[in-house]
Amino acid sequence: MVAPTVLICDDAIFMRTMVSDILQQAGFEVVGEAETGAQAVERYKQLRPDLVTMDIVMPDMGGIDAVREITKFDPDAKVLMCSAMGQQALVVEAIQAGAKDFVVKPFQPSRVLEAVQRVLG
Amino acid sequence: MQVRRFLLFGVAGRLCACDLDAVREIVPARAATRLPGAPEWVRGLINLRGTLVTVVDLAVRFGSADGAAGTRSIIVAEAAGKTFGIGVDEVRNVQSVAEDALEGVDAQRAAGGIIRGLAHVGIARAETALVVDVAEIVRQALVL
Amino acid sequence: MSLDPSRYAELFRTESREQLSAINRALLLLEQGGDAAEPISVLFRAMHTVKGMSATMGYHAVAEFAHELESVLDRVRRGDQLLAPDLMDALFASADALETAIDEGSEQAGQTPAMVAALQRLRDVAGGSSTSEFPGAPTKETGALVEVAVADPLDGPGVIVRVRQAADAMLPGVRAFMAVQRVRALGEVAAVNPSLDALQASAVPISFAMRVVTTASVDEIEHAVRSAGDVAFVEVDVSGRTRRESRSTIAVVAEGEEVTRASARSTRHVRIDLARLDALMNLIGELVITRGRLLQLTASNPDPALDESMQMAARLVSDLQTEIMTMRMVPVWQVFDRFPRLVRDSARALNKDVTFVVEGKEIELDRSLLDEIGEPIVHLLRNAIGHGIESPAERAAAGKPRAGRLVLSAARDRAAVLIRVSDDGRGIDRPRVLARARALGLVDEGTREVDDDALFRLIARPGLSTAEQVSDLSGRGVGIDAVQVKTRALGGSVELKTVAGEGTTITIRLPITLAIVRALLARSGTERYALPLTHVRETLEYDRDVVQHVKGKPVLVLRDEVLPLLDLRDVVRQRAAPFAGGPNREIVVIERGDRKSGLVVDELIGQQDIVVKQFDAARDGLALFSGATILADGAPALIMDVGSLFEGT
Repeated sequence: MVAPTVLICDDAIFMRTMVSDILQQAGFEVVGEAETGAQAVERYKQLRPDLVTMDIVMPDMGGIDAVREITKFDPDAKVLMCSAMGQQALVVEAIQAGAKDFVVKPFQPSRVLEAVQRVLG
Repeated sequence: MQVRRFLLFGVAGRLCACDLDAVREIVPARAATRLPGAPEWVRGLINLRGTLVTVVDLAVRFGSADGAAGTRSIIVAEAAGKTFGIGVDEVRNVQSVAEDALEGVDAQRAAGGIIRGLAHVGIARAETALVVDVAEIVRQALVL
Repeated sequence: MSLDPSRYAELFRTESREQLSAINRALLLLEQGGDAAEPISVLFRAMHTVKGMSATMGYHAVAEFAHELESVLDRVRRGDQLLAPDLMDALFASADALETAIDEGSEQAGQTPAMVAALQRLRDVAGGSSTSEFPGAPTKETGALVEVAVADPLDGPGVIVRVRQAADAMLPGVRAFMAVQRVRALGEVAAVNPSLDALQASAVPISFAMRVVTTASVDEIEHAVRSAGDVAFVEVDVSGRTRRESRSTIAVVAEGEEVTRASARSTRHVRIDLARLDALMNLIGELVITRGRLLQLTASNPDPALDESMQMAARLVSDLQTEIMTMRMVPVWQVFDRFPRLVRDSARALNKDVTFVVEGKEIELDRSLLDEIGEPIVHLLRNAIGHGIESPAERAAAGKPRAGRLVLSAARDRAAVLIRVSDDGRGIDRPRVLARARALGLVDEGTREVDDDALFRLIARPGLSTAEQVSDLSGRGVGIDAVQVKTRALGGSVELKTVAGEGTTITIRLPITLAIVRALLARSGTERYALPLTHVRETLEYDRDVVQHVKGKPVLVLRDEVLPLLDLRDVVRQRAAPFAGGPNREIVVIERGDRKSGLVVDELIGQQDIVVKQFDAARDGLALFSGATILADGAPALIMDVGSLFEGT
């Protein structure tokens, strides 16, 4: 069995590290990171990861537009949105754009893993 | 090679592991209501968001001198058609373990059948975890 | 298999009116144009139901009329008959005629003039009469449906999906949106309640329902909803396709031009699936727990305004609870009425002559309890006929009437309902039971006497049967055991009285409702236990005057009675703890049948409504508990099965 691959997109190193730790402990292989939406789209096309975690607010194309681009390229893309409290409307928009699920900061590892399981399940 | 995913946790100074598939969630330890007559290692009932779940203490089952004093987390597991809790000292992480890093799993039994082998885990497989049989815990603790 | 159709007349009228409302609504929908498939199916099913019900009631004219209509609708459904405007008019006229017939002339043998005219019109526009023969088949059993008066905002075709979110859901509005979105992939979400906008804006976990027109299976729908995450509960109700009824719908129709056609009579009943009532009961259960918590919080933060609102809310919750409990209550005849036939058949098979009497048919019991208790009663009746009542010759020889008398009765006793099966047969043969018990080592060799309670415990043991020959009907004496186990599981108890040569009476004591019971909360050391009031007679303070010692054992002297005394600490095997509260302990007088006993507790915390929940029993755990409940502070407490405390004494 090959470990599932993940692309982590967030403009904050801190958040990327944290998500990376959680997912690595759960047996994921982090194949790439992106700090802008544009990078996320580019890396996705390049790496074709099993899972993408996507921050909503990022410079140079936000997370929602990135989801839209990624889904256009690969309708089966599994994108998990990372949102903060109070971003209801944006999360709904992201889901409409094609994101499969979301988690809310601050992250609780168990919640992240639950969401990941739903997305990949 | 086959890889199995285990949840690693500590009980009374020992590193233990159980199949991740059986784990539903992990919640902080909380006061439990004693079930009169039940074996010592059955801690009792806890309220898990409105559902009553029977919790066992592995430290007590392993005969630890401190009993359940160190229990800080409860692994909520599903096996043999039951949902139940396993009180443990700390939950470490999830690791994928290759078949060749397992020793005697399903062949050897210890601790009254609850331990069913060893798993060599961590960097360079330097650590050894006791593989706990979750379904066997249920069989020994609950009326099925 | 109705025994007395007049008893069902009201039910028939009520449900027929519901069906007529559905018929009228479907006809209106048809007339408005659009997709005809769904309204036609509704019409067909409703007409079929009316036909079956009328035939069962013996209202043959109505049944035949409904059959004619059904045949026409069937042809329309298959596309063999065009739905022309004059056929619509004929159908409306027929619905009116059917309604009049149901309301006024149900019993009369012939067809009413309106029916004759309507039929003529129908034949004129729809061609010849039906080709199929009227089968006169009765409708199928209505199943677990309870009649209640409620309004339903999700009126319309499709299945109803009810969802409750997990209490710890994050951004629940988004989760709700996702659930709706996932279901949309399976079909058309025709309605969401509360509205999707309201759901999306919700900042707290919420319960909602949607009406979905879909061909997906229940499993597929449930899976889709759960895949949205943070779903605590999901239920797909497929029963609501045809007979949903809402006052608002009636009102809309009545305002329109079709007043004379559509039923202007507001129907007050709707049939509700028992599962929905159970769901409602679970929710009110959680509300009761939450109320307890809130009351505790407000008590520790005194604020007159908050306190007043809280008291008001608490009262409303109580009222709501009472309403829902009342909704669930049904008279016992709904189950008892099937017994006369069963008794007759059993008696015939065994060549017994039995007069069967049913008393207290109107006594009400929670629907789920009543459903559960039916089987144990069957066991008891069969036992009475098989083992209790003697053959006519034997009775005559004993100077008794040839026909045995078997009485099934229901009666209220405070917070309990007593169901009693009583026969005037030979009584249980104590010496035989004792001989068997001695042979099996269940009693001491020297035991020669046994009282009713001990006798009952013996015959309730699996495998100890007194039947001389094993009969098909009463099995191998497993009946009493099953009765005991089932009654216990329902929070009740069983008592036996038997006199040789005179007969046997077995009494089942049940709480009136299952899900929520009133209980006394008692403290023992640091632990709390709930004692259901069903078995509590009174409470008193522990006092040297009432507690005396007989042969070194403490007893309770209560008025002119001397009762055994138990200590809750011993009962629950608490390790010797420092004696808290000294002499300020309290005594709960518990009872089962004629037996009473005192139970000493450290403190009585108070009475409250508790929600009974089941838990997985631990190995070797004491079999003293009928369930557990969650207290106001969130901690679980065990519910004592008081009846079982008498077994050790």
